[in-house]
Amino acid sequence: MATAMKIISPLMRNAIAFSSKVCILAKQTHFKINIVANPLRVVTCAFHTSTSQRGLMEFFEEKNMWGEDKIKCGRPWRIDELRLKSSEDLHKLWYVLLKERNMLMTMEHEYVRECELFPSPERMEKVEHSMENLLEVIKERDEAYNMLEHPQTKPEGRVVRNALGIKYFRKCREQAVPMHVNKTYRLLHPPYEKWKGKYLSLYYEKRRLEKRKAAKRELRNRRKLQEKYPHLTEDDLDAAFDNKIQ
Amino acid sequence: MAARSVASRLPLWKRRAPRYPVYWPGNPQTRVLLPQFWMKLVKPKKEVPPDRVHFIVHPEMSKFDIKQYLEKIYKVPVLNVKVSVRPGEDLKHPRGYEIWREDDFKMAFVQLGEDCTFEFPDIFTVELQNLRNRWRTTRSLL
Repeated sequence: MATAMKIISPLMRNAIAFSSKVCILAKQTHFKINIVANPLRVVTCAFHTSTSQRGLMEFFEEKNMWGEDKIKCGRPWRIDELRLKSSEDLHKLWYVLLKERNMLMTMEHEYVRECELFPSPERMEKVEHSMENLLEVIKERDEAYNMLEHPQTKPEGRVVRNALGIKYFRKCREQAVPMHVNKTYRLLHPPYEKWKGKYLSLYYEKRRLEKRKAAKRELRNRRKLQEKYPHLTEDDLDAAFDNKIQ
Repeated sequence: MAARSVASRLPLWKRRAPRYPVYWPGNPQTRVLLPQFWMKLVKPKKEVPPDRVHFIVHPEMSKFDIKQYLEKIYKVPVLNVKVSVRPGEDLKHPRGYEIWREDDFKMAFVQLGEDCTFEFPDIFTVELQNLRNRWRTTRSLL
């Protein structure tokens, strides 16, 4: 059956290859995938993986992969590709990725136990990367859906004082009992007293100075880098210091 | 830009699972559509009956979670699950006095139902090793 197979994300290959007949033909457009269960009969559906009957052996890699030095794998799913998929497809893909991650963790544990080198450990990162992207897409959709029903999508929060009187932002979450009945909450958030203010102002000043010092230090380092490597753009510098995380 | 934030944060499997919403009687049952739990199958240290399987699981998983996970995702019948939290191993530097401890982990001991059996496969059998060595030598010759 040497059909011209082109696997859309070779990461999926391990997850899919256990049934020998199933192969995926990917076209130019990512969202149109034809699954060929039998090469003679072409089924056109959005996305489909056959249910495997391997049971607990799904925690292990395929037998022909055991003891190999290197296992080929492709790139992770990009967020733009996942945005094109329907939620149902994403739901199916999530379980494929979940099983793949479980398999990798099991195999890595076994390799470490046997004092062997685990082949291509970057697969784990790739799976996690695609999972992260998938979660992000789901989050976007969830927010958009909620926006239709309620004007406010994210839960509100408020600024409260802890036992030392230090202010912090506390997210509102669903609780089983109200605040004044909750013993641990009352212990951790006693009423504010005026004498704490003296120490608080000192504490806030210290924190402020630390922040300023850190900012200055970063600016200095940035200038140094810019002098050494003048071709660097601002984005590169941001990435180097990793201070702008979206 | 998910790519950059992935590197800076903890890996997904080390993070806490999202909170399950509080259930009020009378409300419709809430369903988990994207479970973020992981399980890894490990080899038992001693000999066990053929229907027992040992796992290391996400530390927030409960017995019921483990049962549902195996039955719904892997389609494996489960009779009984026992869970225990084990402390990580104490490690010491061979020369110095630094002592540290590995992370604690949760073990799950699962008994399979419906006369299912499972035997932990030998990944590094002698035959495979021989085959691999032969393959290595041939590749080096090429």
